[in-house]
Amino acid sequence: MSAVPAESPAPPIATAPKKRHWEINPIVVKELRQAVRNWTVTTALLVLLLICFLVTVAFLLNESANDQRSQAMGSEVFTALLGILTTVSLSFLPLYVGVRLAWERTPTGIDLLYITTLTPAQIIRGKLLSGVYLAVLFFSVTMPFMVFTYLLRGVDLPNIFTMLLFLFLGNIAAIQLAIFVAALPMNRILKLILAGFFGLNALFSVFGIALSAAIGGRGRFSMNVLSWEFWAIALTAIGVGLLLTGLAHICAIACVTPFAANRALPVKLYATAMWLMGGLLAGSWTWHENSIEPIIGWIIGTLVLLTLALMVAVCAKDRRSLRVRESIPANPRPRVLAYLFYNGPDNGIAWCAAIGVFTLIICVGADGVFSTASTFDTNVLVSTGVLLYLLAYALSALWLQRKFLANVSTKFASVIFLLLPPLLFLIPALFFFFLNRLSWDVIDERQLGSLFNLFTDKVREVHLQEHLIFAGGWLTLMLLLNGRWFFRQWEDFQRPRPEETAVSTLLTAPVASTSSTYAGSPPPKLG
Amino acid sequence: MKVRVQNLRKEFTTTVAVNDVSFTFDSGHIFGFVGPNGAGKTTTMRIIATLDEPTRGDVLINGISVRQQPEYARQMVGYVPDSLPAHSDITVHEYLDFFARAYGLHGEKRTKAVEAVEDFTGVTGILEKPLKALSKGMKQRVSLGRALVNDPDVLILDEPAAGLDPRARIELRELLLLLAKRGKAILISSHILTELTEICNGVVIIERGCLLETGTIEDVLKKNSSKRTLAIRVLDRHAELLRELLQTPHIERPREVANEIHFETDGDEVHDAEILGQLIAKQFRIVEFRQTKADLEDIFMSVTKGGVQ
Repeated sequence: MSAVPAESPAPPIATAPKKRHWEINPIVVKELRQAVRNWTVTTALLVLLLICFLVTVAFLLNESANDQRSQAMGSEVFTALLGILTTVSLSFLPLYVGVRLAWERTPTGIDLLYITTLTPAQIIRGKLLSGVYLAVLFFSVTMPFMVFTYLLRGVDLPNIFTMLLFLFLGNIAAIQLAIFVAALPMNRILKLILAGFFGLNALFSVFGIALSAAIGGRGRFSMNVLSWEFWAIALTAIGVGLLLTGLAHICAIACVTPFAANRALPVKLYATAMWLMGGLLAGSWTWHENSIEPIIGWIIGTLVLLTLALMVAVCAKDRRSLRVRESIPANPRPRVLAYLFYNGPDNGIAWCAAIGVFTLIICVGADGVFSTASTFDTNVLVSTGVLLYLLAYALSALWLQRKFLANVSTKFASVIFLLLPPLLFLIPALFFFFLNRLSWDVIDERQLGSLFNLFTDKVREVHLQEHLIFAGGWLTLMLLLNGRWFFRQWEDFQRPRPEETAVSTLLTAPVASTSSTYAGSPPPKLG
Repeated sequence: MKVRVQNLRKEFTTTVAVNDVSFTFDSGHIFGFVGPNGAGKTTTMRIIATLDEPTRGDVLINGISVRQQPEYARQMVGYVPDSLPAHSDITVHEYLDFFARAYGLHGEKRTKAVEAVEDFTGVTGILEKPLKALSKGMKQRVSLGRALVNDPDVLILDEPAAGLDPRARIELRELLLLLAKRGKAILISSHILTELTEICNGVVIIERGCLLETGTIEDVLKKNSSKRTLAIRVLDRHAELLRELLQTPHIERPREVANEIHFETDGDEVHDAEILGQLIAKQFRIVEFRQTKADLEDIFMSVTKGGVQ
C-alpha cells in the first residue's frame, strides 16, 4: 500500500460542490430545537407573559378604584410594559445566546462545526438569527398587551411601533455583541464579566433612552414620529448602530475562523468601509447643521477604533500561515495594498497608521472647506498627538514583547499596550503623592508620554507642541528599533517559495522519509 | 481514493509536533496509526481532517490538497474525535440531522442519508433519546454516524475504542470492517494494538513526531524481522512433532503455544510447502497449518523507544 503510484492533483472543479438550494441555516434549526427543549426559554416566556398580564390587570384595577378617569393611562401602562420587555429582552436573550455559544466553543464543539462545510460566517449568522427568532417570540408575547394600551388612550400606534422597532433593533445589537464576546478566544469567566459589563451598560442606556423618549412632556407621549427631524436623528442613530453591530458580527466571524485563514482581511475591509461611511455621515451632518461637532465625533470614534485595532494587532503572530501567504498578490502594486489588510502585527499597525493619517488629512481638508473655529484646529492637533502616542505605545509593546518576552504568548504585547497609558499617567502622580505634593494642579501640569495629559485644558493651551514633538520623537525611536523587524516582515510578505508548496515534487519523494531539513521561511527576528 | 500524507510538519510555539511525516493509505483498507502518547497522532489526524494547517508539507486526498482546498477536501473526510457528543438538549436524530444539514444535504437526500446512517450504526431504537443519556458505546455509534452522514470516502478515527466495553468494541470493529469493505479508506488510532492487528491491513508508527514505520503489517514485520512465524495444530504427538521440527533445517525456536506448535522460519513459501509435505509423510495428523498474523505489539515494541515530547 505504500507503493501507490504518484497521482496528479485533481482539478478543483471536479470536486466543487454543487450549487446549494436555499435552506434555513442549519445552526438556526439546531438552536431553535435546543431552545424548545430548554426549560429556561419556556420559563422566561411564561414569566414574561404572567408579568405583563399582572401589570395590565393591576393598572386596570387601580384605575377602576379611582373616581377620576385618567386620559393618559395607555402611556403609563405602555411605559411599564416597555420597561419589562426591555429588561427581559436585553438581559435574558443576549445572555442565553452568548452563554450557549461560549459553552459550545470548546475545541471539540467548534471543531465539529469546522469539519462540516459550514463557513464561520454561517455559524455566526445562524447564532444571530436564532437569537432574532427568540426576540420575535418574546416581542410577540408582549405585543398584544402593548397594542391594548392604545385603547386606554395616551399613546398612538405609530409611537408604539416605533418604540418597539427601536427596542427590537437594540436587542439585535445586544445579541450580536453577546455573540462577539462569547466568540472571543478567552476564559469563560472573563467572558461572563465582560458580558455582564456590556450587558448592564446596554440595559441601562437603552432603558434610559426608552424611558426618556417615552415620557416626553406632561407624562404623555409627545414625540412626533412622523416628522423629518425625528427620523433624521433616528436614522443616523440606527445607521451608527448598524455599523457597530456589523463590526461586532464581522469580528465574531473572525474569532471563530481558523488561525490559518486570513482573518484580518474581512475585518479590516469592513472597518475601512465603516470608517468611510461614518465620515460621510459626519460630513453630511456638518454640512446640514453647519457645525464641526459631528466631524469631531467621527475623529473620536476613529481613535477608539484604532485603539482597539492596535490592541489586537500587536498580539498577532509574526508568521503568516501558508494558506495566507499563498493568497498574497504576486504583483508588487496590489501587494502593497494587500499588506495593509492581511494578518500580522506589522500589517495591523500599518493599517492603523494609514487610517489615522487619512483621518487627519480629511480633517485638515474639512477645516479649509467649513472655515471652522480655532477650537477645531486644537482638536485636530490633540488627535494627532493621540495618534502618535497610540502608535508609539503599540510599537513599544511590540518591541518589549519580542525582545524580552519572546518565549511567552504574544498576547502579552496587548497587555503591555494596555498598561502603558495608565502607567505613564500614574507614575508621575505616584511620585508627587510620595512627595506629598499631589493635587489637581499637578495633574494639569505637563506629563510628556501620557496620553491622558493631552485632554487637560492647560496642557492643550500651553504644552501641546511639546507633546507633539515628544510623541513624534518616541515614535521615530520605536520605528528605528523595530526597523529590521519591519523590513523582515515586509520581505516575508510574499507568496511562499516553490520548495515550501511544491506538492508535485513531493509526490515523487520516498514515502517514509525522516529528514528534518526546514524549508520554510525563517522566522523574522527583531532588529 | 488515495490519501497521501507528504512531508508533513507541524510546529507549535516551541515544539515540533509532527516532523516530516509521509505515508499513504487508500480505499478499502484500514490503517492503524500507533505511537506513544504525545507522538503527534492527533495533530496529524487533525491536519488530514482539515482542522489544522501544517507548517510545511501537505495531505492530498485523491489529489486535493487539504492546505490549498480545505473546503473541498473536507467533503471527503469523516472525522471521529476522541471525545464523544454530550449535549443534553438534543436528540440522536436531531444531532445527525443537524450534521446532514451542515454538510449541505437537503430534502429527500438528507432524509435518506440520515436514515441510512441511523440504520447502519444501529441507533434506530434510540433516536428520540438525548445524547447525554446514552452509554459510551452508543455515543461512539452516534459519533461514527455523524462522520458518515455525508458518505465520506475517508474516515479518520481518533481513539474510537477508548473506554468502550468489550461488546461495544467488537461491534465497532465489525462496523469498521464493513466500512472498509464498502471502499472507505480508514485511518484509526488506538492504544489497543491487539484489536488493531485484527482489523488493520497496514500500520503507521510514529514517535516524537517522526515516522518510524509505515506499510502493510506483513511488510513492516518483514522489514523488522527476516523470519516468519508458522503455526501447526495437530491432533496428537505434540512432543514428537517438536523433536521433528528441531531437526529440520531453517526452523528455529519451535515451541508449544496453547495447543499449537509455533516456530520461526527464514525460508519462503516453497519451503513451507516442503515442511508440510514432510510432516504429512511422517503421518502427523495435521488439522491446521498457517502463518501467524503479524503481531502489532511486537512491531510497536521493537521500533519505538517510548520517548515522549
